[in-house]
Amino acid sequence: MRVLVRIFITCLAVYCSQFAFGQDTVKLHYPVVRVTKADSISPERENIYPYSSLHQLLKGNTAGVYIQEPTGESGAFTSMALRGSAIPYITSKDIYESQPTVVLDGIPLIMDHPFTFDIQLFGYNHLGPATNLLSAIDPNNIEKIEVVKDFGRAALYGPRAANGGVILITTKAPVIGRRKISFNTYFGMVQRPHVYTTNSKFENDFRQQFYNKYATTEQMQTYPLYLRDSTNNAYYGPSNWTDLYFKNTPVYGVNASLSSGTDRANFRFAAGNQRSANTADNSNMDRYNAMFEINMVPLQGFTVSSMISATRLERKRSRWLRDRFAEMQYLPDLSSPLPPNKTYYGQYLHEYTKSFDDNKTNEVNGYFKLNVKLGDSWDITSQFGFDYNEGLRDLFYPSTLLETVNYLSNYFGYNQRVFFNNTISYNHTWKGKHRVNVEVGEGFQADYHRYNYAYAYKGPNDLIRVNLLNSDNTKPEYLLPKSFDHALIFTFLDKQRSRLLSFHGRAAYSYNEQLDFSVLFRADGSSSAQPDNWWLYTPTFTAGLNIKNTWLKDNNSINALKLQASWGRVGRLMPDDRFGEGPQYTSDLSFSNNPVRFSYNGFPGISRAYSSGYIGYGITWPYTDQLNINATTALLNNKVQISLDVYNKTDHNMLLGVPFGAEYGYNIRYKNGMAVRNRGIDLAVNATVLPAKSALQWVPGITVNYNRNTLLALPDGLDELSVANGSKLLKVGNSIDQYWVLENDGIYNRDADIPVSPGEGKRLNYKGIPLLAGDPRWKDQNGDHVIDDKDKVLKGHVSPVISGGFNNDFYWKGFTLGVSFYYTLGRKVMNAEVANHFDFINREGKIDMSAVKEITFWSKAGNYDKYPLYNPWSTVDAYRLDQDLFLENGSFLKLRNLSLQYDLTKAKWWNKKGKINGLAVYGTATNLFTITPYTGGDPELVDFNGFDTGYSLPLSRTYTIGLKMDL
Amino acid sequence: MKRLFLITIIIYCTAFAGCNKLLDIDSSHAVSEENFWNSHEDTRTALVSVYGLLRAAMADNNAWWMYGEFRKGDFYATQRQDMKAIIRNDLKAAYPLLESLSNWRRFYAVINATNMFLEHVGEVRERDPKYSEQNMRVDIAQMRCIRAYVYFFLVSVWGDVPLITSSHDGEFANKPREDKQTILAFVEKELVQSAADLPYKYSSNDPQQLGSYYNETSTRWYGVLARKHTAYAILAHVAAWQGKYVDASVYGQFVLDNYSKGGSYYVNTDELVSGNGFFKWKKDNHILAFNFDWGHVDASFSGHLEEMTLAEPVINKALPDIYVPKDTILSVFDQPVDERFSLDTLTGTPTSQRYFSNFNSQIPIFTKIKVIQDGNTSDPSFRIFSSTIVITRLENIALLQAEALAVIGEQQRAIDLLNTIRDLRRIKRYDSVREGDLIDAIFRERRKELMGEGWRWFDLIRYNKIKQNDPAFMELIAKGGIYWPVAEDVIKQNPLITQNPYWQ
Repeated sequence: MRVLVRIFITCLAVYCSQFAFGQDTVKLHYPVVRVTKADSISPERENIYPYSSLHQLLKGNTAGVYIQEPTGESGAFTSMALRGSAIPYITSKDIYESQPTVVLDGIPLIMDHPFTFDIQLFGYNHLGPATNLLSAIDPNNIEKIEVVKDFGRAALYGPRAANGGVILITTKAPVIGRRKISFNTYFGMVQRPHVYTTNSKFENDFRQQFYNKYATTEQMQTYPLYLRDSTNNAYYGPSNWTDLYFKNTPVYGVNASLSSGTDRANFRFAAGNQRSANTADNSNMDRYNAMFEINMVPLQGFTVSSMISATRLERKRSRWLRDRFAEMQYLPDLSSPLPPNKTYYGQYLHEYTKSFDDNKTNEVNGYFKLNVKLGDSWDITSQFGFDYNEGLRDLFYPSTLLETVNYLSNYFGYNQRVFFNNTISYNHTWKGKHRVNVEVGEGFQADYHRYNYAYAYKGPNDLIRVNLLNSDNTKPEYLLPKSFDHALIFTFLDKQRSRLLSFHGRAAYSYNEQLDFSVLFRADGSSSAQPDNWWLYTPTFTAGLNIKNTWLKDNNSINALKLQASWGRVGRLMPDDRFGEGPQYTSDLSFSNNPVRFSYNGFPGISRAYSSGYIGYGITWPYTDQLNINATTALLNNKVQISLDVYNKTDHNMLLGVPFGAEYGYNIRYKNGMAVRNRGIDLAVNATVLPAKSALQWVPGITVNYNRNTLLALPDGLDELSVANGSKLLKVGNSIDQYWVLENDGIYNRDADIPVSPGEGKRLNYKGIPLLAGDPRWKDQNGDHVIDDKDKVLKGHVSPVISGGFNNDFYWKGFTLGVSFYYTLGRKVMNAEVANHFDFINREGKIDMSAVKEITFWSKAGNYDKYPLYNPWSTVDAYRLDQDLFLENGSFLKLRNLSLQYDLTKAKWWNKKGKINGLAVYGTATNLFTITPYTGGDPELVDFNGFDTGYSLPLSRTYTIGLKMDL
Repeated sequence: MKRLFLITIIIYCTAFAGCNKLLDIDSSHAVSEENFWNSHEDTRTALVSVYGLLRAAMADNNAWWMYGEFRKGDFYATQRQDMKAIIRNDLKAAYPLLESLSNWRRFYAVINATNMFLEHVGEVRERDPKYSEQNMRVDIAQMRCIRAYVYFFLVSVWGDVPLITSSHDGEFANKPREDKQTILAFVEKELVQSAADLPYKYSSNDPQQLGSYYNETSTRWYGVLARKHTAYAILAHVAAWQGKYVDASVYGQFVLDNYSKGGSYYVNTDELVSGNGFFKWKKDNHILAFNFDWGHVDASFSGHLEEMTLAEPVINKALPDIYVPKDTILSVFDQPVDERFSLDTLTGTPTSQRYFSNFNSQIPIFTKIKVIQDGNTSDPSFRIFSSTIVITRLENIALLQAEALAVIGEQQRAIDLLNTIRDLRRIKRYDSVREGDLIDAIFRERRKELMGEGWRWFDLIRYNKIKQNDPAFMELIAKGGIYWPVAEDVIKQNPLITQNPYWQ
């Protein structure tokens, strides 16, 4: 594959000049000042950066889009939120449900379904390659990206717009009347960061403070071996693991496209290859993509167009012990962590040469579209399209990596969407003033998700890495495994089907470019809803007033001023086909450490869904209402452009698992009734600061989103509900993304300091456990002399209250200097990495995930001196995470991108009559610096809980140089 | 133009009629109400799920041992803070394990599954002619027997618990805790009634169950399902728990008179402790047990005592989570030539190490139960186990019967039963002069014989109730400290549930 793409690109490079020879050419117009609109991004400005996903391209570029990268690893799962999330993140599944739909040329892209988490003991990663499917989009092929948040437009996409709107991607259209060949290529380096490393000496000194202060003789005896022996060079020697862990790594990208045609038939073909990489842990990703688009007009008014695009992503993943153990669902003895010394760490890494971990994702999508225009008024469009992506992971860990137990696993999963849309619209303008547009449409979308997954332990040796089956069908052992023990082979298969059928009618009227109104009605039927409730009927209304055209025609300082308001409702699809079944039976025989028991005594066992939750009859569609008011203006000769949106988005009738019926065996019951409001402002301002005649131009642009999230109601009229094993509280009137913590107020140094209730003489206790000297001084908020959940308060936000970007473009002669900042405000981060470090007593001598120490354990980020020395043996769990001791301000400002471009065609010596229409060289630098009050690592890299767990590869500095050429 | 419009409308209308059909697809991982309770395969699936759910409840967080073995027991935790808290009966300590164990949901899931079965089994009988009257009767008896056992276990762990005997499906109502006496009376009645319909064996032409059960041979059902003597064994435990030793002796005697019909026998020490022996997979000799049969790909990492007790050199793990300290071993196994464990008092070396290996190191390893992988291996590298959770076995019932007889004054019969077990383990017969009190001797024997089988805590309670000579323990009994606290999660979702007073 890789070789083929290379050969192809080389061929293209050699022959392209001949293609171009003798053709009519049109000068490509490079505008001096590019102005981006509030909600759309022109990738021309962005395609010089080595982005590895659509998320990275969107980050900080449009107001109201918040991108949460949990790690800097290329192609790793990344989430986004449009105008905040309405779904509380209780498990990792919830993030998948809250992702907005990306629509590529009318194809609503299908994403991974989170149902693999059902068979996973640990929810860190989706099964299989877990590659970010939006990494498949090549920015070089994109004409524009629009983030449509206003339901006035987004409601046309129905339930697909429920997560705050849709993201529309339009690919570059073929050129007409000439041939155009474009190249864009870059090469760069990812720079290794500096890390403060530690060894056992450091760790020993750190722990001795606690041992000296609190330990009993018995507790002294269980001091870990790797800290005990100071002559052990592996742990006490130099800590230089970073030499092997971090590497300066090359990255590159090549993209070429060819487009040609007449107004009757034209095409565009593009191909590209990109290598993105992280400096840490030898992780990287390769993208190979090809795309072909044609338009044909066989008859006047009849257009046939078609597009097909294929991408392959190959990912080399980071090698966290946690992820390996989670994949194996098995942990070895953890009493000796990886040593910080390079020699020993190198020996460990060497064992990986015997392993393989192939992560491949293939994605194909395309459409076929017919458009008939009858006269000036009638327009009929019919589009058929599909999106298919498949993930494959082949994995083998040799026995030398884990106590002589080797491991083999294979995953194949695919997501498939087929859709069919038809619309008829009628357009007419009376007397040049009254314009009417009426449209009716129908859409059908069928989704299918499926995976096969199998894993096996303890193969006979490390040379047999495939589970071979006996192939002789005459023998009794036919299809039984040849070398692996059948009792240690586990296989799984699951599938999800869902269908969405929609009808809509829309009528719009506008008067003389001054006033406009529209109304949209739609009916959506979902197969995941219950049969008596398949259909949901929703309206959307819009109204607009062009103030400039109506009252300010003669005002020269105001060039444009428009007001637009919309109110709309769209349904939210239910995340799982189980909801359509009502009361149901399923397999529920699993228990701790064994998430995948379906049978007993070799027979399947099926019962009510006790653990996964009761689903009764009468579950109805959740839906979202949004009021959006937009004001757009251009002032001072279009020098300042402002777009301001005020929105009020409320999700009603949402499903939530409510604890219920423990005496009937149930964990939770799903009920409608949760309502969440996101209310805020999106603001985008662009300005051209310097006079038009100046040779130097400066165009600053700022985007701001301010979002306030409020929980309005819970099912059953509940006021509050603790979720996620009691680690989160949903409380009406508060946000759904708040931390629920005890407030720290120092330490009790002496037993005598512990307050005693005046009446009963009861000593302050934590849920019945008396507090002692060395325990944290937690605020007893309700003054009942018991510290418990009632004393926990909701603090801070996981998602930022204010976020956005600040971009500056400087133009001088042929040079363009781009400086992009990215910022968030009003966001907190739980420094779980430090908390876990202090909680070492509960993280030794166990075989579970909390006791896993990665190689990054031997590094230090943050200031340990600012935390009190609690008694780590205390049964109140002094260094617990649900206290504000580790909660920090996670606001930041980053200089994310810096670029310098020189357009050679602007040079005086440039031969304007030559064959080359465009030629630009550029250099970029990304992730240059961060300003933040946060004391730990990078405040941006946190998980969905807002926890900085330390499980992230850094967003490293990357430097590239590149070349763009148009022929 | 008009025609085009008309055609479109017609197309749309047909589409609308057909579209409900498009939306009607069944979930592939959940079975709806109308697709269940139709055939004998559904009853088998539902029946199996009841046993599977109960296995899950007992295996979840190794609950069987957490509830019954460790509290004030012989095991000592090396490093795990949460297990230390359980051992010292500090059950409100703030650890996730304790919070999880104080939740009774999983046991009520078993009860709900049995209730569902009892309510729907008639539908299957009507719909599937292959589902015979006798098959239904046996299935119902099993469900009642298992439900009764779960209630007994709930009462012995939490004291008063809600008594729910129908599924209330769809119209769930919160229920308060019911007095434990009421529940145990219900348990006893249910067990006696279900015992009448239960066979001694399945697929073995027992009068209660003729022909092959669910078209499977008897080997498939070895020790898997509740049988007649299972019901009586539980009855004996229930009566003894209540101190009704006369009843206990009647029920116990039934088991001792009839065990061979069910395929039980007294197991010798080598078979008891062998990886290939008593605790391996399913066996008719298990009176009530939940297996993890290797052949059915049921082996697991958790839900086995081995997960906590084994360590180097038996398996790859530096230290066990729990161990029996040397002093305890020496004081408990004080009889010479005990096949389970004994020490040569002259040389100080063990003469038998069947229960403990590595005795001479600081932390001995409890190796009585060690079904590593398929049980046939001494390969220490992979900590997957296939040992069975044995709830009760013949030796347990024999000693329980000895206890009952001793309490009601039938000394000689009690001594005979005690000696049956002592002969089996090759130790000297009971000598009242040398060993003192008979009841003490019986409980000492239980402590040795059933070590690591989840009974130590319940034995301690019964012992103290008989002896009443430990004021601290008597206070624990009087105040309800012998029960587990009820999880906060449970109390929150059902306001009628109150916390056990001791743990308030």
